[in-house]
Amino acid sequence: MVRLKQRYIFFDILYPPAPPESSRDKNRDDFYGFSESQSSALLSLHKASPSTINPKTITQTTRKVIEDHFGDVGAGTVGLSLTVKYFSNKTSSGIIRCSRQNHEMVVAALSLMNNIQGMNVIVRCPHISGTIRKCQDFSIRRNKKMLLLMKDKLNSAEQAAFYSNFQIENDNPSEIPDY
Amino acid sequence: MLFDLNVSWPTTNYSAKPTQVQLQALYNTITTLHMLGYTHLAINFKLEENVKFPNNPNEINPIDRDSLKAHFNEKFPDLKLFTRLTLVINDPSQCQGLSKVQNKFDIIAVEPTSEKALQATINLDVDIISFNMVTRLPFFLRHKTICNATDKGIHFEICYSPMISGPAGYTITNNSDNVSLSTSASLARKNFFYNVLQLIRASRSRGLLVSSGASHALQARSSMDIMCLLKTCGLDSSRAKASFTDNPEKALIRGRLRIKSYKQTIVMGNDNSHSDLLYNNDLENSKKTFLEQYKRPLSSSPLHVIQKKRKLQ
Repeated sequence: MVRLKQRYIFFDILYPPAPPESSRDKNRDDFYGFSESQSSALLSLHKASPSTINPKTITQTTRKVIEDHFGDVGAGTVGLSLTVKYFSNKTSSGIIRCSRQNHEMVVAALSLMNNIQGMNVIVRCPHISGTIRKCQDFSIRRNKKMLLLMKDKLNSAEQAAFYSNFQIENDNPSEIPDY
Repeated sequence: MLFDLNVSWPTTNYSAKPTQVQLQALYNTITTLHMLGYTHLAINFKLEENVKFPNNPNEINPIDRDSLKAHFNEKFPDLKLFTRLTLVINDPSQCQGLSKVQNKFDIIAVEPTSEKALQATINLDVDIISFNMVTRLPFFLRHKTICNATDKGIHFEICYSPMISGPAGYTITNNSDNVSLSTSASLARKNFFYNVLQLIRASRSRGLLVSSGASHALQARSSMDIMCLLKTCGLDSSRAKASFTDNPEKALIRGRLRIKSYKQTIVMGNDNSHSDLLYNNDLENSKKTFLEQYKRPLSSSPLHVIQKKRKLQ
């Protein structure tokens, strides 16, 4: 039996600090406090998204970027088959489904994006998998680890593995305590 | 370990000092890159061709390493910062002597803007050759020239920030809600892809390294995403990964060996962690070579003993 094969891309949207335009800009504290500690940087990058950023606008923008860079062929082969299956405004992360052959084009387009609905963003794809279930597992595991990181409970090797997105050997999901 | 050997220092000459906002933007860029997983970052000071080096040797490196160290060492202990100099060279006969600056920076890079300059720089003692990727190169990259350099251990840099955001990025236009690219931005991206393909072809995908060149936090990208971007240009997965990990490490080691070793072969130290011995630049002052600890008095060297015996005979 042959199945229709897909790729599920787990992505998250980061909000880098922008230089303040005036002294009363509300971004000012964010800009100057950003590099003060690891937790302030994490908190600032992983902000909640405004409601203008939703699955519809993300799909639109991604299709636009794919068409700009890979032309009509790219837009036809991957752009049309692309859907945002899930997006959470609170964690600013989501899952995109696309066809299996050219999923790299989608990741490349996401990395070339720098603006969604007027917000300056970095889009990053920490995980790609063949089933949506594994994407979900990964995102849950990742968020739990992020909480531990905020509370400074990870040792330096685990931290490095978290940031660089490479697995470490004893990366056992059962060891992470529940919250 | 992930490397990014190009984080822009705000100024490009010796007269201007960076402002508070520019410095903070640099700190934020470094922090963002660290949050994306990069551990070894080099701050790049780019110098145009007609600027002369100052006479005072302490002023040759304008990067304020002390305040950077004071800011990052406590808060981000895994982060390692280095300094890099990029010289723009158009006419090799106008080139200033490198020996003056070699021990002031961790890495020395050149950016040739003509074919003559490229051929001349290959014979220099540099670690990285970088090209301005957003304009069309005025010369053809030949396999022989590029591989000559790669065989010597010089790496070629692909710097992705000028085409990702900033003036070359997506912006909102007034008449629509959707983002769009300006004509110049789209031209910059075309040139970037063309130049990357040329470089991949000429170097046979060996000896490439990828760096951000970011001057603000928005231009930082995760290494996995850029790997995917390079895969669409025809670089295979393992080589794309090596251009973030192995190749920049080699370039950095080459630069560090110039400072810390005797003729790039022997390093001495009583530090047990071997990797740290080369990378640790905490104790270095503005003059990086401190040869005193390597030197021995002539009277205790084997050569001297032989000479003494000969004299007695």
